[in-house]
Amino acid sequence: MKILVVDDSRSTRAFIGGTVEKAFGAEVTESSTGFEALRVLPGQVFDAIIADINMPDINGFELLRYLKTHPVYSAIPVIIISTQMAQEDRDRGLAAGAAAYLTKPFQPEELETVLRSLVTVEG
Amino acid sequence: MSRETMNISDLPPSQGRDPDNVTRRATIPVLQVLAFRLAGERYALDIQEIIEILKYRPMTPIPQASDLIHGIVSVRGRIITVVDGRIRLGLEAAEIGPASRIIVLRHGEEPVGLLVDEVLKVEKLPVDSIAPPPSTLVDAAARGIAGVCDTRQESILILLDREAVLNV
Amino acid sequence: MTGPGDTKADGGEFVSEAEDLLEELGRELQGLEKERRQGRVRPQGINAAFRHVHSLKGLSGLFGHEHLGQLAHILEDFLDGLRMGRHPLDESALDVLFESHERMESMVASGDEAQAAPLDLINRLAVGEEKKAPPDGRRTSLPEDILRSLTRYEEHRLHASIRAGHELWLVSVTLPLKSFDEDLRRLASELNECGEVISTLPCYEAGDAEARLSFRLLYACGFDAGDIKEFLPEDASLEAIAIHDPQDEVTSVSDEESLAGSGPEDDVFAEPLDRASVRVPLERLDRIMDVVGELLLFRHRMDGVSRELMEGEETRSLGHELHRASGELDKKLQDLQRSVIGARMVPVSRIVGRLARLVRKMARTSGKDILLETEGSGTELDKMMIDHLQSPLIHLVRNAIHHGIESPLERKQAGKAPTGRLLLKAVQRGNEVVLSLSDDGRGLDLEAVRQTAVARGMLEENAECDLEVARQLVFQPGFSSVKEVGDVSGRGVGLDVVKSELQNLGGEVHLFSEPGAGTTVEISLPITLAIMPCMVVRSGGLDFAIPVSGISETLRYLQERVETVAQRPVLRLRGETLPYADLRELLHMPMVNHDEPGFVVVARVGAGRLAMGVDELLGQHEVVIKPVGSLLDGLPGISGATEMGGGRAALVLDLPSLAAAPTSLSGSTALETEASP
Repeated sequence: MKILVVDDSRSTRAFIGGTVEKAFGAEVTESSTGFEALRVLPGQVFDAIIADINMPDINGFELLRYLKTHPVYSAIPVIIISTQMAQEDRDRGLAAGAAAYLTKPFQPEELETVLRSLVTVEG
Repeated sequence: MSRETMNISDLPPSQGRDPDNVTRRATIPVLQVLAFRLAGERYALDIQEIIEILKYRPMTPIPQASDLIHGIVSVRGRIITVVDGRIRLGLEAAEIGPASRIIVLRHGEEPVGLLVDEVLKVEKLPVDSIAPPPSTLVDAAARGIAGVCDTRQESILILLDREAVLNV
Repeated sequence: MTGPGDTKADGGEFVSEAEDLLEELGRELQGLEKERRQGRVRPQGINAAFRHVHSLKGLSGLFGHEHLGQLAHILEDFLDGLRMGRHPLDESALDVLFESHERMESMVASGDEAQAAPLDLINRLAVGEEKKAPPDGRRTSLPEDILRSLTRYEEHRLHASIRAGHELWLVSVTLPLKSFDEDLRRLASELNECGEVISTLPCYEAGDAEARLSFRLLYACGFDAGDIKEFLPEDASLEAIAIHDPQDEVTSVSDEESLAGSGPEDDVFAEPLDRASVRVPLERLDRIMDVVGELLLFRHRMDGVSRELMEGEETRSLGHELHRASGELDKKLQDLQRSVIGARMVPVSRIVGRLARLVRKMARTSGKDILLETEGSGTELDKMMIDHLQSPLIHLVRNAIHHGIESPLERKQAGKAPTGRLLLKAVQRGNEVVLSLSDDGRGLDLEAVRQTAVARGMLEENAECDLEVARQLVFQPGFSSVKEVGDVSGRGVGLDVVKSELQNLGGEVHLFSEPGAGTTVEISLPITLAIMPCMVVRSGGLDFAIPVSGISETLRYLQERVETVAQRPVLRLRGETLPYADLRELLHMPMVNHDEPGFVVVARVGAGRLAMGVDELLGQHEVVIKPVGSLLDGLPGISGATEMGGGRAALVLDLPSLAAAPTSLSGSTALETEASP
């Protein structure tokens, strides 16, 4: 399983990456900005993308919008994460095609559960 | 920060009797003002109108300009017109001393200086302590006086209206 | 790997990232403070600060740092209020931001648990009830998919821009995958100079190669499309977003726009984009120019020091060396100055397109057949000059078409070609550019000018009106020879307005006319106003700068040269007599002691000359001219100020208004300048 983690916080990327590695033995690619994510996308086939909303350059919604209009990437489930408590952002994320929404801070188990429900785990 | 400029936050804070002005602020709005001295009287301007405070430096007088204009000075490449605060308020002409300062104010798009005798401190005035100028002062509006504040601790603080003061 | 449970083990990682975030936050706050003082706070700065605090909050949550998390949380709300425009970024807001930043730094440095909960700050940061801005009635034609991918903040910026009256644009660019991030950041920072990129949306375009990415930028700014285009890469496209205001269904079109009237094929203004050039806002060039000016002042000081060193026995050789070095520096600085001036230059052709459209439109409505020709439109002028030239030129073109060029029938009867010709010519002469607009129309109608002048009380009933008199009259305020107010010309403003507009640019206007054959209006302008070679003089203890272009000569003052003619002092100079006055008198400065001036500056004023006595000549300098500010606007004799080093300012003299000023010697009448032969 290949996961792309897009977040401008090193520690958050490490935390998410660590969680999915431990739980699924997943191969994790990290991007610190939306632009970096756009660059790594064409080279690989990801099983899921986990992205923050508040990032420099382009925000999580903009990235999501792009993925959902792209013929190849639109099938990849996207989990939007944010510390934002605003219900509005959550609704927006889901309306724009996010598969799930997680509010930081979350426990590793929460992420595991969400991911398991979205991706068919081999073995 | 250059030697000659002073940050407003560098000024001594008010030694007011209101140590708990955090809670105070929540109930009564306060106005933060910069207090300064002109011919022995205490005046103040809303701190939001102030860009910076400069030490006095020699200025170029402007021939044919009104007496209110003390001169011009170049600050970091900008030419600033300086209004003589004392003459503007109808007080005796300024005496330049070591405490003389130029308060640089926002005036539309450009900065304009106000020459004062001495800059005192930043004070927080609860707005309900500000009274309109006394009716005996008939030309208050023309002089740019917006109100007075009696803190009962020191002499009366005369609040100026930036726009009216610079309307020369 | 990291997890929230491993707090202790990963303390180092937490500290290093938190420190990074705090450092960036500190930089952002300092930037905001500076911008606030300059009176222009970029919303991007507040948003960046918000983002850093937001990340810090997430980080604290992740590592279980409760107190830091609390403070970050409330600070995030506070910054959210600022970026959403709920409360202003004032001094007290900045204070609490800086204090919070400092507190967070010490919390990170000392470890969270050692600190008490930052209740004091939390109280101060607590903001009141969230006030929602009233919904804006205006709708935009923005595509739904873009609207839906905006964050709350971006949506707020969109509405704020609409409220501010900015125009909205959708910029589409396709960039190579290899460099899109750099390209896009550069483009965004350029666009942000004059507006705001509200949202950057990557989008999939059918047929996009793997190696390319497309983006749509939602951009708000006050410019028109032609201006934005210059920022964009060649293949970018631009789409205007309509803003509908239900309360304002009828939009009025300004005169200029209706005249310019345009279909795409009508757009003479569109120029091919030059790929090898960048667009730089004028203020930045102004700033560079200021710095060059300051450097020249330092150079000047260095020269003084080297001279002093050369005097001393032991320091002589050192002084010579410094003098040489300062000479080299001077050469390089002048090079630099020329380059900066060069960067401000734009060709006259920039305004030709607009004039051509105006001519076409006016020709159509007036039933005349007119051809606009240009010569030397590659001649360059300061961008600011070009901008200010537009309206006077438009006025002159209107005049030429309305009053000058005859109808095809009339032209035939006069034995002329049916098509009227307008020629706009630009030539550089030294530090000046001479622009002339000629028509081959009927020329000044002397009788009509005479009658109008009589009717306006500007001329005696039986006075003669020759060409010379007519040339003067048409530039007088209030004179307008229009019989009826034409539909495309003559709006009650005459040539006097054109003249004063051009004089404000340091220019002069002359009119030449040959009855039956046509009229030429000649405008001479300095190439740039930003920097001028000036003679610096001292008079009455003050320093003044006089533009060298206005000085015909300087000489020593000799008392026997000054005489009085009809009670007015004159200066005899090689057989000519010139009006003379001490500069102190001209500026109404106190003449404390009636010391004789040391020198005389002979200035050119219009077609005449004026001799002024000054105390000292301090030498010629390249001077950066600055406006004196609104409080001193309209002061006669002064056109600006310049820095002389050490914060001292010198006034730049405006010769025309100085010569027109009444002097105590000549009573209340203006000092007449003698016309030179």
